[in-house]
Amino acid sequence: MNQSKSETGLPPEGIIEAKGGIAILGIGGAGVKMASAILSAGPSPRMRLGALDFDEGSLASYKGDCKLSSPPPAGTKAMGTGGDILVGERLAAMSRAGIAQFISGAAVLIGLSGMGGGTGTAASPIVARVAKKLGVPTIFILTVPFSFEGHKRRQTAEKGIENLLVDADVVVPIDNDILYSIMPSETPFPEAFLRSDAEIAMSALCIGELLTAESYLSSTFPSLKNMLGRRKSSCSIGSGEAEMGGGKDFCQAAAERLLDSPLLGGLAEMKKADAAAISISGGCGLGIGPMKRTFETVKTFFRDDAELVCSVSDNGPQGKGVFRITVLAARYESQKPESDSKASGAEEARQGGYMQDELPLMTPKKGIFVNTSENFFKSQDLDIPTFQRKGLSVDFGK
Amino acid sequence: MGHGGGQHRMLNSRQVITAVDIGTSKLCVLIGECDSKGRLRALAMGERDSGDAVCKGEIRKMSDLCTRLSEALEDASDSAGTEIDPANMFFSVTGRQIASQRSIGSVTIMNEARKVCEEEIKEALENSRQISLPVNTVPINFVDSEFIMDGNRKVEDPLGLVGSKLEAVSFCVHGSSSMVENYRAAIGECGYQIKHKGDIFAALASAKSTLGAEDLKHGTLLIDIGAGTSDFALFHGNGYFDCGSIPVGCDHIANDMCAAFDIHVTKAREIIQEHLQTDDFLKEQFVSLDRSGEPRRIPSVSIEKVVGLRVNEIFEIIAASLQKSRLKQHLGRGVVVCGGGAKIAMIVKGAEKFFEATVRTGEVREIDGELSKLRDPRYCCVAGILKYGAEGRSGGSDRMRIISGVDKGLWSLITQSWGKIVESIKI
Repeated sequence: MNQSKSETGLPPEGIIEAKGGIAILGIGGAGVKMASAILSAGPSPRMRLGALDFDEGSLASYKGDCKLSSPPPAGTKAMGTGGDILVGERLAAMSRAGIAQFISGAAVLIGLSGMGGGTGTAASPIVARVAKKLGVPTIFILTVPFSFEGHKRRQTAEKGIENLLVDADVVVPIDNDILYSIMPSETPFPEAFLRSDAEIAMSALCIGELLTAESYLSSTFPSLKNMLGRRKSSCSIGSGEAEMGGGKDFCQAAAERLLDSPLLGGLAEMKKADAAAISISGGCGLGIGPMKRTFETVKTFFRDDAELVCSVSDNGPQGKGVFRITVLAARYESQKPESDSKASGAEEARQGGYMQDELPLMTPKKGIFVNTSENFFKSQDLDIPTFQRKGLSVDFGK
Repeated sequence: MGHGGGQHRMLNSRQVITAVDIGTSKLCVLIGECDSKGRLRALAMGERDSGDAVCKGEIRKMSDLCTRLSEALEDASDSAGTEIDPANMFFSVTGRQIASQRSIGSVTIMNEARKVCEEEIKEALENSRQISLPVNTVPINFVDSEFIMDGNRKVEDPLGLVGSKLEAVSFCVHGSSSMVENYRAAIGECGYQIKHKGDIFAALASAKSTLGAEDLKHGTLLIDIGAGTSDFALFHGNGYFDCGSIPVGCDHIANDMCAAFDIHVTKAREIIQEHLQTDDFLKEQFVSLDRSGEPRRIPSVSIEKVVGLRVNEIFEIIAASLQKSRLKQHLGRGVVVCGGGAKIAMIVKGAEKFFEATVRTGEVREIDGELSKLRDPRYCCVAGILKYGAEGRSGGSDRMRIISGVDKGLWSLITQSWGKIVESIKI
């Protein structure tokens, strides 16, 4: 886990070369709004912003330069997908070239989208696949619909997330319910929406910096990928900042602001997290004493058995004198009940890299024991491979 | 044909014994002869692939099986140069319903001296054969264990002891009647009607050929891991016996690999044959499969994981069936693994780890003959069937403990054989 610069001064492994810059793509209506929020927050020079949508109106409201869409049939206006996933897929497939052009050369792609609708849900997996082909690592920050939007929308969102997990490296789903619960109920809704977009934008920026700043203690991207890329989770991001110097205990101050960070939900929510990535940045002048204290403090916010990934970085030219703690907390979806374990075992095997389509005629996994007498022992079918009944994934090889 | 002179010719033909093992991966016929001193000599073996006629130990395609079995029988009888006599044929049976049940037969000692004589022992054993079994269940073998005098004294050989009551403890290995009859019918379809009982549970057969008196006395668990089933039997000299059969075998290991790595079952079996016989494959990072075009590479740790899980599960099920709590105290001489599974290094090592006892591969003992195949653990079962047939055909009795004082001389053999012929005529 210890990363240190080698003699020749080459950066430690696992660091995403910042040269390529961070590509941030807002996908679908919600995503475009989030991208707009980043635009207004002022992105760093290393970031490249883009918006992908098939609704003319939404693209028009985006003030940035890079707009991706697929040209509508002659004479019509691009009216978006209207929540239809198939239409979204088709349109996204047509815009593949543009997407590839936008992504190529980037060091990492951060995709922002809202799941449940047509464009975001359908286009995000396609974007992920394009990025994978180009060898660009991807993180997707997604919003999951409110409960009041209905069961169907939620289901569509979940399916979209599962599809995304196949190709994307890291998936950070954020529940709208939580997102909006942090604000007082009297907040006027335009303000609420703007604020939530801003929150997510902020998180995206934090993550962007987390990844591209030179990080010690652990290589952040692979750790994040390991934490979030294997199974479904619901995540929250937050950060706390404090001015360094001035004699005050900036560690404590930053930690307190972290607790106040809206998306993280405070101590109660953090105690529910199964895993967390904690990153602190404080410039080269940060002493190991404060660093240790900060980690210890933040560690107490989480459960004893939570998986923690810690990293520390120096900000570089920006953020001098500012001490920041960024936390990404994830709660894994609970295991499906026994009766579904066969299915989830197969799912996990698929996510582990086994991606071949199944021929519909083949009874899954019984292999040569299809059509033979049943083989039950203590309610388990012994003919089904043991590793599948235990839900373990196996490295498929090439 | 055979030794001795003309006066023994009639008896010689009775002493040529045929053993038939119908298994999931192979059908095997072993012909041997028992000479005047009681030593067994293997003459010839006929073998055929089972194809998919037998799956998980159960016969699925009767006519296909009979074709193959006939060929194997012909091969064997041609090589041995004798005709096969169905009156001297024995076969193995297996199936998941096989279990053992303890049964006690008692007899009151009526003679004046209150000494135990041959008749009392015989009667006690006869009584222990009286057992009530569920519907459609038949006894396959009886494993005689020990004797109890006067209700509380355990003795090994009661002959000559004084007492008022003698009890014989016997374990009845039983199974589903249709399952047993299936095997008999298959051999019957090939033209050999076996009218006498002739069946033996596969694990008992393997035990007969591989275990010695010391093993039986100090406690041994025998596991016969075949392609379709894993049969097991636990012996201990203090009178404990248990057995069973699980319909999981090396084919399941192959199938697991098919599912994990998306390869065909023949390729999986190839991997088992070529790479899993030793632990060496773990030294390399990948196992390569030859293919046209790019060779396929499978990570060795994945193979280890998939196979290891399945192997461990087999042992877990065996241990569960044997009441794990009692298992440890009965493993004085450890575990003996027979069958095709014994050639897989991971199974032997896995057994060591799981049972925490010494594990050895079964080797056929006390059978002469130049058949080098008998050194392969896959043939422990058929060799055991041969031994079973040679030692006595008395309606299923099988004394699996140290036999002392049994005269193996020629005359006793003749008188025993004649006695049994008379008996069988009675039936």
